[in-house]
Amino acid sequence: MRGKMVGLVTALLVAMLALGLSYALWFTTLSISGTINTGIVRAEIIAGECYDDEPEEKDVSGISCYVDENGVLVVTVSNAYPCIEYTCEFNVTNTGTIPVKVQSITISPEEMADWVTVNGISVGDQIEPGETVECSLIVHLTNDADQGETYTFTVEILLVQWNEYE
Amino acid sequence: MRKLTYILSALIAAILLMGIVYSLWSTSVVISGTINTGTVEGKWISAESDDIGIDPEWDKDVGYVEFEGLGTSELVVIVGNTYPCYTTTIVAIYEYTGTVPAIVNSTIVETIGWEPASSYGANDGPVFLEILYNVTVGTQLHQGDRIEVVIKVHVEQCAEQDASYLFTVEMELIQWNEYTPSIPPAEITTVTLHPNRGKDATDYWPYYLKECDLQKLSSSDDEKYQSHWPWPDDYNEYDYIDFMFPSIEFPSGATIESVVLYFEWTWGVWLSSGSAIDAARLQFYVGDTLYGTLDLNVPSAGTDSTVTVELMDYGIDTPEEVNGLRVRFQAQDGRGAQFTYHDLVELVVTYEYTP
Repeated sequence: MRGKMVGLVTALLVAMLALGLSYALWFTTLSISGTINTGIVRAEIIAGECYDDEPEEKDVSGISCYVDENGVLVVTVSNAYPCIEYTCEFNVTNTGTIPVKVQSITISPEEMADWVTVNGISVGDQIEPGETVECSLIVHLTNDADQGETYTFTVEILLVQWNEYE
Repeated sequence: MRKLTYILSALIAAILLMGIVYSLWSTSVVISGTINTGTVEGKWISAESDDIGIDPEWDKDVGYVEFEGLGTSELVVIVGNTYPCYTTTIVAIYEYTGTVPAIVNSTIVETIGWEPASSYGANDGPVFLEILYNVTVGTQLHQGDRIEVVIKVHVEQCAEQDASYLFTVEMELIQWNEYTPSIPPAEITTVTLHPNRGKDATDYWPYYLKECDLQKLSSSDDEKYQSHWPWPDDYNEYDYIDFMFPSIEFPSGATIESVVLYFEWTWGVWLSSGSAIDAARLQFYVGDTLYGTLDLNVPSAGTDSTVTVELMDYGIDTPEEVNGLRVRFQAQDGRGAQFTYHDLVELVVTYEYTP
């Protein structure tokens, strides 16, 4: 009996010792803290000089432009007639932090592309952050333009992050 | 169960893909344009006739003149109940109201189904019409400018009773920058010249060709001018015959098309002591400047030889050079005994001139 008792106590002590060892194990944790700041794709259009090729003594028509509160370049050609070239200069500046590429230049309605052209910028051109591209919009009516008429058009220059250009 | 897994996986993949598509960053710059076009237009603002009661130049109120279309671009004139020798003068004013300068491109008067008389009282047509404008083709009009059109009508004796003689007066105006002045066709003129002066320096004392000598050079008729003295044995600066031509009064801006010299000559009509012309040449001068030399083929004795030379090939291609031309003939004879004989010296100048 006594021998059994001693064995039981001994086993208990060993178990308690083992338990004590386990509690004394030191530990630590490795952690990563990350912050991702994304860039900006943004561009701005800036109005430039407007002029036409009428001689001074026949300066009856004109072109003007300004940038409205929505950042749209608003161009107006007044008293226009065929075979005069009306020019509106403007700049496109990459005001973002990521290089952009010109994905498309769309003139609408489509038939106005006969009279309206954009120079200085082409599909595929890349504009670096802070870079400014000098462009011009040319309006040249052909003889099929009607007298006393109002024509409207929109030009959209779509700029995409450089690595998504197709 | 497995099917459900596949469907879920595909859905997740699609959503992920959509996320990628939406993540394409882009921006646009937009230009909004408006084009207001101008106008090329006008209207008749007034029209008057001197027939305001008693017929002009008569003492009865029979004929009349009426107008329609005032305030529009088309004026209709009705001259009614007329009779031979009825006459009236109409003055109509057109005001240009367009916003774009225009230029008078043409004025056209058309009669419809009849021919007007050639002049007042000519009686070779039922009505004599005379249309006068205060502008001419090429006149530029600005907004507010006025055109006055005067129409004189005279009914001729051969006019028929109860007939209508219609006519239209049309003036075409076009925007100033599309007007192209009509350019008259270029005129081509050809002038044939013969020498009006000549200097024969074959003799020690130069001989100046007389009218009868020059006459011999004006046609190929075997009436020949004989050199004043036989030619020496070598070309030299003292022995020559120079031919000069009258000046052409070129209009300003004329351009030379061709300058052709015809030169007919021979030698040895009277052979003597076995001598022979063994070389001859023409030289072309303008003033004292030598433009070129042409060595001639020497014909056999007594045989005419005609040379045709385009002098533009020698740089004689301006009116000033043509008018300053001097043709020099020289020959050489080893024995210095032969004369030369000149039948035709002719210059044909063609020039173009745009009036």
